[in-house]
Amino acid sequence: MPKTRGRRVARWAALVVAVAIVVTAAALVAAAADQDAPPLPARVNPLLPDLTVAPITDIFGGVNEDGTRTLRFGVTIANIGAGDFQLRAHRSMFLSEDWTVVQRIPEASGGFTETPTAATLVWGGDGHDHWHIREVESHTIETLDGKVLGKVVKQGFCFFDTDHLHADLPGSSANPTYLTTGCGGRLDSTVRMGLSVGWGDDYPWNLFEQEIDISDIPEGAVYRLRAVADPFGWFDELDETNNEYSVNITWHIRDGAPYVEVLGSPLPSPTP
Amino acid sequence: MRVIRASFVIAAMVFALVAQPVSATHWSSATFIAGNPRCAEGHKIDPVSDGTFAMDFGGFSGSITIDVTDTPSGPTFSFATDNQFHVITSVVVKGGPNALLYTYSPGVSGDSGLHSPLNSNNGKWYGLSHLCFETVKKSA
Repeated sequence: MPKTRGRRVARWAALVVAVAIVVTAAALVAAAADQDAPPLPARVNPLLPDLTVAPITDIFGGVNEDGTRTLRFGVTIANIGAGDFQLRAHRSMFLSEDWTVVQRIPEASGGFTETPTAATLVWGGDGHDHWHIREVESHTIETLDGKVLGKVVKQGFCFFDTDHLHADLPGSSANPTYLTTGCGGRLDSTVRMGLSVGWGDDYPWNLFEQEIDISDIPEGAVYRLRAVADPFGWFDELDETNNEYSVNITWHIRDGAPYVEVLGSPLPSPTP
Repeated sequence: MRVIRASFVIAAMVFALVAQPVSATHWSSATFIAGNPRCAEGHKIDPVSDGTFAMDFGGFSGSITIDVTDTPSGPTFSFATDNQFHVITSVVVKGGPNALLYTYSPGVSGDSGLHSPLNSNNGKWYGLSHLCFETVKKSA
Protein backbone atom coordinates (compact mmCIF):
# COMPACT_ATOMS: atom_id res chain seq x y z
CA MET A 1 0.00 0.00 0.00
CA PRO A 2 1.50 3.39 -0.96
CA LYS A 3 2.50 5.51 2.00
CA THR A 4 0.14 8.43 1.17
CA ARG A 5 -2.84 6.12 0.76
CA GLY A 6 -2.07 4.46 4.06
CA ARG A 7 -2.04 7.84 5.77
CA ARG A 8 -5.32 8.76 4.14
CA VAL A 9 -6.97 5.55 5.35
CA ALA A 10 -5.59 6.14 8.83
CA ARG A 11 -6.96 9.68 8.88
CA TRP A 12 -10.36 8.47 7.73
CA ALA A 13 -10.41 5.81 10.41
CA ALA A 14 -9.42 8.36 13.04
CA LEU A 15 -12.18 10.68 11.90
CA VAL A 16 -14.83 7.96 12.04
CA VAL A 17 -13.65 6.87 15.49
CA ALA A 18 -13.70 10.48 16.72
CA VAL A 19 -17.26 11.02 15.49
CA ALA A 20 -18.33 7.73 17.08
CA ILE A 21 -16.75 8.75 20.39
CA VAL A 22 -18.51 12.12 20.37
CA VAL A 23 -21.92 10.61 19.56
CA THR A 24 -21.50 7.85 22.15
CA ALA A 25 -20.39 10.33 24.81
CA ALA A 26 -23.43 12.51 24.10
CA ALA A 27 -25.71 9.50 24.45
CA LEU A 28 -24.05 8.44 27.72
CA VAL A 29 -24.32 11.94 29.16
CA ALA A 30 -28.00 12.06 28.20
CA ALA A 31 -28.59 8.62 29.70
CA ALA A 32 -26.85 9.60 32.93
CA ALA A 33 -29.05 12.67 33.21
CA ASP A 34 -32.12 10.46 32.84
CA GLN A 35 -31.44 8.51 36.03
CA ASP A 36 -34.15 8.80 38.65
CA ALA A 37 -34.91 7.19 41.95
CA PRO A 38 -36.44 3.75 41.40
CA PRO A 39 -40.22 3.39 41.56
CA LEU A 40 -41.90 1.81 44.56
CA PRO A 41 -43.02 -1.81 44.09
CA ALA A 42 -46.73 -1.20 44.72
CA ARG A 43 -49.24 1.57 45.28
CA VAL A 44 -50.12 2.40 48.87
CA ASN A 45 -51.85 5.76 48.80
CA PRO A 46 -51.62 6.93 45.19
CA LEU A 47 -52.35 10.53 44.23
CA LEU A 48 -54.15 9.97 40.96
CA PRO A 49 -54.70 12.68 38.37
CA ASP A 50 -58.10 13.41 36.87
CA LEU A 51 -58.18 14.65 33.29
CA THR A 52 -61.04 16.80 32.06
CA VAL A 53 -61.68 19.14 29.17
CA ALA A 54 -62.60 22.79 29.68
CA PRO A 55 -65.32 24.26 27.44
CA ILE A 56 -64.31 24.46 23.80
CA THR A 57 -63.77 28.09 22.82
CA ASP A 58 -63.28 30.26 19.74
CA ILE A 59 -64.96 28.10 17.13
CA PHE A 60 -64.44 29.50 13.65
CA GLY A 61 -64.85 28.29 10.11
CA GLY A 62 -62.17 29.17 7.62
CA VAL A 63 -60.65 28.55 4.22
CA ASN A 64 -56.99 27.70 3.80
CA GLU A 65 -54.81 28.86 0.93
CA ASP A 66 -55.34 25.55 -0.89
CA GLY A 67 -59.13 25.96 -0.70
CA THR A 68 -59.62 23.50 2.16
CA ARG A 69 -62.57 24.39 4.37
CA THR A 70 -61.56 24.13 7.95
CA LEU A 71 -62.94 24.30 11.45
CA ARG A 72 -60.73 25.93 14.09
CA PHE A 73 -61.34 25.88 17.83
CA GLY A 74 -59.55 26.08 21.17
CA VAL A 75 -59.29 23.13 23.57
CA THR A 76 -57.82 23.00 27.06
CA ILE A 77 -57.33 19.76 28.96
CA ALA A 78 -57.04 20.12 32.72
CA ASN A 79 -55.94 18.02 35.66
CA ILE A 80 -58.42 18.33 38.54
CA GLY A 81 -57.15 15.27 40.41
CA ALA A 82 -55.15 14.68 43.56
CA GLY A 83 -51.78 14.24 41.88
CA ASP A 84 -49.85 15.36 38.84
CA PHE A 85 -50.40 13.60 35.54
CA GLN A 86 -46.92 12.41 34.60
CA LEU A 87 -45.73 10.37 31.66
CA ARG A 88 -42.20 9.11 31.12
CA ALA A 89 -41.16 7.79 27.74
CA HIS A 90 -37.99 5.80 27.19
CA ARG A 91 -36.41 4.18 24.19
CA SER A 92 -33.96 1.34 24.31
CA MET A 93 -31.27 2.87 22.12
CA PHE A 94 -30.05 6.18 20.90
CA LEU A 95 -32.30 7.21 17.95
CA SER A 96 -34.37 4.02 18.01
CA GLU A 97 -38.14 4.31 17.58
CA ASP A 98 -39.19 1.72 20.16
CA TRP A 99 -40.59 4.17 22.70
CA THR A 100 -42.35 2.83 25.75
CA VAL A 101 -44.47 5.15 27.87
CA VAL A 102 -45.15 4.68 31.58
CA GLN A 103 -47.44 6.67 33.83
CA ARG A 104 -45.72 7.81 36.98
CA ILE A 105 -48.13 8.04 39.91
CA PRO A 106 -46.98 9.93 43.00
CA GLU A 107 -47.59 8.54 46.47
CA ALA A 108 -48.99 10.62 49.32
CA SER A 109 -46.04 9.70 51.54
CA GLY A 110 -43.44 10.33 48.87
CA GLY A 111 -42.02 8.30 46.04
CA PHE A 112 -43.98 6.99 43.14
CA THR A 113 -45.06 3.92 41.25
CA GLU A 114 -44.95 3.39 37.52
CA THR A 115 -47.58 1.76 35.29
CA PRO A 116 -46.99 0.71 31.69
CA THR A 117 -49.30 2.30 29.14
CA ALA A 118 -50.24 1.66 25.52
CA ALA A 119 -49.23 5.20 24.54
CA THR A 120 -46.52 5.86 21.95
CA LEU A 121 -44.56 8.86 20.80
CA VAL A 122 -44.40 10.51 17.42
CA TRP A 123 -41.80 13.07 16.41
CA GLY A 124 -43.45 16.41 15.73
CA GLY A 125 -41.41 17.44 12.73
CA ASP A 126 -42.64 20.02 10.26
CA GLY A 127 -41.76 22.82 12.61
CA HIS A 128 -43.06 21.28 15.84
CA ASP A 129 -39.65 19.92 16.78
CA HIS A 130 -40.52 18.00 19.88
CA TRP A 131 -42.07 14.69 20.81
CA HIS A 132 -45.82 14.20 20.89
CA ILE A 133 -47.86 11.56 22.67
CA ARG A 134 -50.20 9.99 20.15
CA GLU A 135 -53.89 9.97 21.02
CA VAL A 136 -53.49 11.48 24.47
CA GLU A 137 -56.53 13.49 23.45
CA SER A 138 -58.91 13.53 20.51
CA HIS A 139 -60.69 16.40 18.81
CA THR A 140 -63.40 15.30 16.40
CA ILE A 141 -66.42 16.48 14.48
CA GLU A 142 -69.22 13.93 14.66
CA THR A 143 -72.83 13.39 13.78
CA LEU A 144 -75.19 13.57 16.73
CA ASP A 145 -75.28 9.76 16.85
CA GLY A 146 -71.50 9.57 17.20
CA LYS A 147 -70.21 8.89 13.70
CA VAL A 148 -66.78 10.55 13.39
CA LEU A 149 -66.59 12.74 10.27
CA GLY A 150 -63.27 14.43 10.84
CA LYS A 151 -60.28 14.62 13.21
CA VAL A 152 -57.94 17.40 14.18
CA VAL A 153 -54.93 17.72 11.86
CA LYS A 154 -52.42 17.76 14.71
CA GLN A 155 -50.54 14.48 15.10
CA GLY A 156 -50.37 13.92 18.84
CA PHE A 157 -49.86 16.37 21.66
CA CYS A 158 -47.11 17.52 23.94
CA PHE A 159 -48.77 18.63 27.14
CA PHE A 160 -47.46 20.88 29.90
CA ASP A 161 -48.68 23.55 32.32
CA THR A 162 -49.96 26.58 30.41
CA ASP A 163 -53.00 27.84 32.36
CA HIS A 164 -53.67 27.81 36.09
CA LEU A 165 -57.37 26.97 35.94
CA HIS A 166 -58.07 25.58 39.42
CA ALA A 167 -55.68 27.26 41.83
CA ASP A 168 -57.93 26.34 44.75
CA LEU A 169 -57.30 22.62 44.44
CA PRO A 170 -55.19 21.07 47.22
CA GLY A 171 -51.62 20.64 46.11
CA SER A 172 -51.92 22.98 43.15
CA SER A 173 -48.61 24.79 42.71
CA ALA A 174 -48.64 28.52 42.08
CA ASN A 175 -46.11 28.27 39.30
CA PRO A 176 -45.97 25.88 36.37
CA THR A 177 -44.00 22.71 37.07
CA TYR A 178 -44.04 21.10 33.65
CA LEU A 179 -42.68 23.15 30.78
CA THR A 180 -42.31 22.81 27.05
CA THR A 181 -38.78 21.52 27.58
CA GLY A 182 -40.32 18.27 28.86
CA CYS A 183 -41.40 17.49 25.32
CA GLY A 184 -37.78 16.69 24.57
CA GLY A 185 -35.58 16.98 21.52
CA ARG A 186 -34.83 14.70 18.66
CA LEU A 187 -31.82 13.07 20.34
CA ASP A 188 -33.36 12.55 23.77
CA SER A 189 -33.85 9.00 24.97
CA THR A 190 -36.14 10.01 27.82
CA VAL A 191 -39.07 12.38 27.59
CA ARG A 192 -40.91 13.68 30.63
CA MET A 193 -44.30 15.29 30.19
CA GLY A 194 -46.68 16.34 32.89
CA LEU A 195 -49.71 18.34 33.90
CA SER A 196 -49.83 19.65 37.45
CA VAL A 197 -52.85 19.53 39.70
CA GLY A 198 -55.09 22.48 38.90
CA TRP A 199 -53.28 23.34 35.67
CA GLY A 200 -54.49 23.19 32.10
CA ASP A 201 -52.80 22.63 28.77
CA ASP A 202 -54.21 24.98 26.18
CA TYR A 203 -54.42 24.38 22.43
CA PRO A 204 -55.70 27.73 21.17
CA TRP A 205 -57.76 28.04 18.01
CA ASN A 206 -54.97 29.91 16.23
CA LEU A 207 -52.35 27.21 16.75
CA PHE A 208 -50.78 25.61 13.69
CA GLU A 209 -52.79 22.50 12.71
CA GLN A 210 -55.39 23.01 15.45
CA GLU A 211 -58.07 22.45 12.81
CA ILE A 212 -60.37 19.87 11.25
CA ASP A 213 -60.86 19.57 7.49
CA ILE A 214 -64.60 19.93 6.88
CA SER A 215 -64.42 20.30 3.09
CA ASP A 216 -66.45 17.13 2.49
CA ILE A 217 -68.98 17.63 5.28
CA PRO A 218 -72.30 19.13 4.12
CA GLU A 219 -73.33 22.49 5.51
CA GLY A 220 -76.57 23.09 7.35
CA ALA A 221 -76.83 19.98 9.53
CA VAL A 222 -76.17 19.90 13.28
CA TYR A 223 -72.83 18.37 14.26
CA ARG A 224 -71.07 17.67 17.51
CA LEU A 225 -67.59 19.09 18.08
CA ARG A 226 -66.04 16.83 20.70
CA ALA A 227 -62.81 16.92 22.70
CA VAL A 228 -61.81 13.96 24.84
CA ALA A 229 -58.82 13.55 27.15
CA ASP A 230 -57.36 10.04 27.18
CA PRO A 231 -59.97 8.73 24.70
CA PHE A 232 -58.71 5.13 24.94
CA GLY A 233 -58.50 4.98 28.72
CA TRP A 234 -54.76 4.31 28.77
CA PHE A 235 -54.06 6.29 31.92
CA ASP A 236 -55.15 5.79 35.52
CA GLU A 237 -57.34 8.58 36.90
CA LEU A 238 -59.56 9.32 39.86
CA ASP A 239 -62.61 9.57 37.61
CA GLU A 240 -62.77 8.08 34.13
CA THR A 241 -66.22 9.50 33.35
CA ASN A 242 -65.49 13.23 33.12
CA ASN A 243 -62.98 13.26 30.28
CA GLU A 244 -64.87 15.05 27.56
CA TYR A 245 -66.58 18.20 26.48
CA SER A 246 -68.70 18.60 23.38
CA VAL A 247 -70.72 21.32 21.76
CA ASN A 248 -73.30 21.25 18.97
CA ILE A 249 -72.61 23.46 16.00
CA THR A 250 -73.72 24.05 12.45
CA TRP A 251 -72.32 26.11 9.62
CA HIS A 252 -73.46 27.72 6.41
CA ILE A 253 -71.31 28.55 3.41
CA ARG A 254 -71.25 32.19 2.36
CA ASP A 255 -68.87 33.37 -0.35
CA GLY A 256 -67.14 30.00 -0.13
CA ALA A 257 -66.46 30.16 3.61
CA PRO A 258 -68.13 28.22 6.46
CA TYR A 259 -69.79 30.55 8.98
CA VAL A 260 -70.20 28.65 12.24
CA GLU A 261 -73.13 28.92 14.61
CA VAL A 262 -72.71 27.49 18.10
CA LEU A 263 -75.89 25.77 19.26
CA GLY A 264 -74.95 24.88 22.83
CA SER A 265 -73.31 22.09 24.76
CA PRO A 266 -75.08 18.82 25.46
CA LEU A 267 -72.78 18.20 28.43
CA PRO A 268 -72.01 20.36 31.45
CA SER A 269 -68.44 21.51 31.79
CA PRO A 270 -66.55 19.21 34.19
CA THR A 271 -65.70 20.80 37.53
CA PRO A 272 -63.47 19.66 40.38
CA MET B 1 -7.79 17.87 1.40
CA ARG B 2 -10.30 15.06 1.05
CA VAL B 3 -10.24 14.52 4.77
CA ILE B 4 -11.04 18.18 5.35
CA ARG B 5 -13.86 17.99 2.82
CA ALA B 6 -15.14 14.81 4.43
CA SER B 7 -14.98 16.47 7.82
CA PHE B 8 -17.22 19.22 6.55
CA VAL B 9 -19.66 16.66 5.15
CA ILE B 10 -19.79 14.73 8.43
CA ALA B 11 -20.07 17.93 10.43
CA ALA B 12 -22.96 19.02 8.22
CA MET B 13 -24.67 15.65 8.72
CA VAL B 14 -24.27 15.84 12.49
CA PHE B 15 -25.51 19.43 12.47
CA ALA B 16 -28.55 18.46 10.41
CA LEU B 17 -29.30 15.70 12.91
CA VAL B 18 -28.90 17.84 15.98
CA ALA B 19 -29.94 21.32 14.96
CA GLN B 20 -33.46 22.65 15.10
CA PRO B 21 -34.74 23.90 11.77
CA VAL B 22 -34.10 27.57 11.17
CA SER B 23 -37.20 29.67 11.67
CA ALA B 24 -38.97 30.42 8.44
CA THR B 25 -39.68 34.02 7.67
CA HIS B 26 -42.92 33.13 5.99
CA TRP B 27 -46.10 31.76 7.43
CA SER B 28 -46.84 28.07 7.88
CA SER B 29 -50.48 28.55 7.01
CA ALA B 30 -52.81 31.39 6.03
CA THR B 31 -56.52 30.92 6.65
CA PHE B 32 -59.47 33.13 5.88
CA ILE B 33 -61.51 33.26 9.09
CA ALA B 34 -65.24 33.80 8.74
CA GLY B 35 -66.13 36.33 11.41
CA ASN B 36 -64.36 38.50 13.91
CA PRO B 37 -62.14 36.47 16.29
CA ARG B 38 -61.59 37.91 19.73
CA CYS B 39 -58.08 38.74 20.83
CA ALA B 40 -58.42 37.48 24.37
CA GLU B 41 -55.00 35.91 24.86
CA GLY B 42 -53.10 37.76 22.18
CA HIS B 43 -51.60 41.22 21.91
CA LYS B 44 -53.87 43.60 20.07
CA ILE B 45 -52.63 46.49 17.96
CA ASP B 46 -55.46 48.87 17.12
CA PRO B 47 -55.26 51.09 15.14
CA VAL B 48 -52.63 49.69 12.83
CA SER B 49 -49.86 52.11 12.06
CA ASP B 50 -46.10 52.28 11.76
CA GLY B 51 -44.38 52.12 15.10
CA THR B 52 -42.82 50.07 17.86
CA PHE B 53 -45.15 48.59 20.45
CA ALA B 54 -44.35 47.05 23.83
CA MET B 55 -45.20 43.37 24.06
CA ASP B 56 -44.93 40.56 26.58
CA PHE B 57 -43.25 37.38 25.40
CA GLY B 58 -44.16 34.69 27.90
CA GLY B 59 -43.28 36.89 30.85
CA PHE B 60 -40.38 38.67 29.18
CA SER B 61 -40.73 42.28 28.14
CA GLY B 62 -40.00 43.16 24.57
CA SER B 63 -41.39 45.00 21.61
CA ILE B 64 -42.57 44.58 18.08
CA THR B 65 -42.10 46.99 15.20
CA ILE B 66 -44.80 47.32 12.57
CA ASP B 67 -44.21 48.79 9.14
CA VAL B 68 -47.27 49.37 6.95
CA THR B 69 -46.92 49.69 3.17
CA ASP B 70 -49.57 50.81 0.71
CA THR B 71 -49.57 48.72 -2.45
CA PRO B 72 -51.84 48.73 -5.51
CA SER B 73 -53.50 45.59 -4.08
CA GLY B 74 -54.14 47.21 -0.71
CA PRO B 75 -52.17 47.70 2.50
CA THR B 76 -49.60 45.16 3.66
CA PHE B 77 -47.37 45.17 6.70
CA SER B 78 -44.24 43.63 8.09
CA PHE B 79 -43.36 42.94 11.71
CA ALA B 80 -40.12 42.39 13.57
CA THR B 81 -39.60 41.67 17.24
CA ASP B 82 -36.72 43.14 19.20
CA ASN B 83 -35.06 39.79 19.85
CA GLN B 84 -34.74 36.54 17.93
CA PHE B 85 -35.97 34.69 21.02
CA HIS B 86 -39.13 36.80 21.08
CA VAL B 87 -41.21 34.83 18.64
CA ILE B 88 -44.66 35.14 17.15
CA THR B 89 -46.71 31.97 16.66
CA SER B 90 -49.73 33.49 14.94
CA VAL B 91 -51.13 36.78 13.68
CA VAL B 92 -54.78 37.59 13.09
CA VAL B 93 -55.29 40.41 10.62
CA LYS B 94 -58.76 41.89 10.87
CA GLY B 95 -60.08 43.89 7.92
CA GLY B 96 -63.64 44.24 6.67
CA PRO B 97 -66.13 41.81 8.21
CA ASN B 98 -63.64 38.92 8.47
CA ALA B 99 -60.03 38.15 9.23
CA LEU B 100 -56.95 36.32 7.99
CA LEU B 101 -55.04 34.01 10.36
CA TYR B 102 -51.34 33.46 9.75
CA THR B 103 -49.68 30.69 11.77
CA TYR B 104 -45.98 30.02 12.31
CA SER B 105 -44.51 26.69 13.33
CA PRO B 106 -41.94 27.18 14.67
CA GLY B 107 -42.50 30.76 15.74
CA VAL B 108 -40.70 33.59 13.95
CA SER B 109 -39.27 36.93 14.95
CA GLY B 110 -40.37 38.68 11.78
CA ASP B 111 -42.27 38.43 8.53
CA SER B 112 -43.56 40.63 5.74
CA GLY B 113 -46.27 40.83 3.12
CA LEU B 114 -49.16 40.18 5.50
CA HIS B 115 -52.55 41.63 4.63
CA SER B 116 -56.24 41.46 5.46
CA PRO B 117 -58.92 39.48 3.54
CA LEU B 118 -59.84 40.35 -0.01
CA ASN B 119 -62.69 42.76 -0.61
CA SER B 120 -64.58 41.10 -3.45
CA ASN B 121 -66.24 44.41 -4.34
CA ASN B 122 -63.02 46.01 -5.55
CA GLY B 123 -60.55 43.12 -5.74
CA LYS B 124 -58.25 44.66 -3.14
CA TRP B 125 -57.37 43.74 0.39
CA TYR B 126 -59.42 45.46 3.04
CA GLY B 127 -57.84 48.17 5.17
CA LEU B 128 -56.06 46.99 8.31
CA SER B 129 -58.59 47.20 11.12
CA HIS B 130 -56.53 45.62 13.90
CA LEU B 131 -53.87 42.97 14.49
CA CYS B 132 -53.67 40.26 17.12
CA PHE B 133 -50.27 38.69 17.80
CA GLU B 134 -49.88 35.43 19.71
CA THR B 135 -46.52 35.19 21.40
CA VAL B 136 -46.79 32.41 23.87
CA LYS B 137 -47.22 28.96 25.23
CA LYS B 138 -46.67 26.69 22.32
CA SER B 139 -46.14 26.69 18.62
CA ALA B 140 -47.39 23.15 18.09
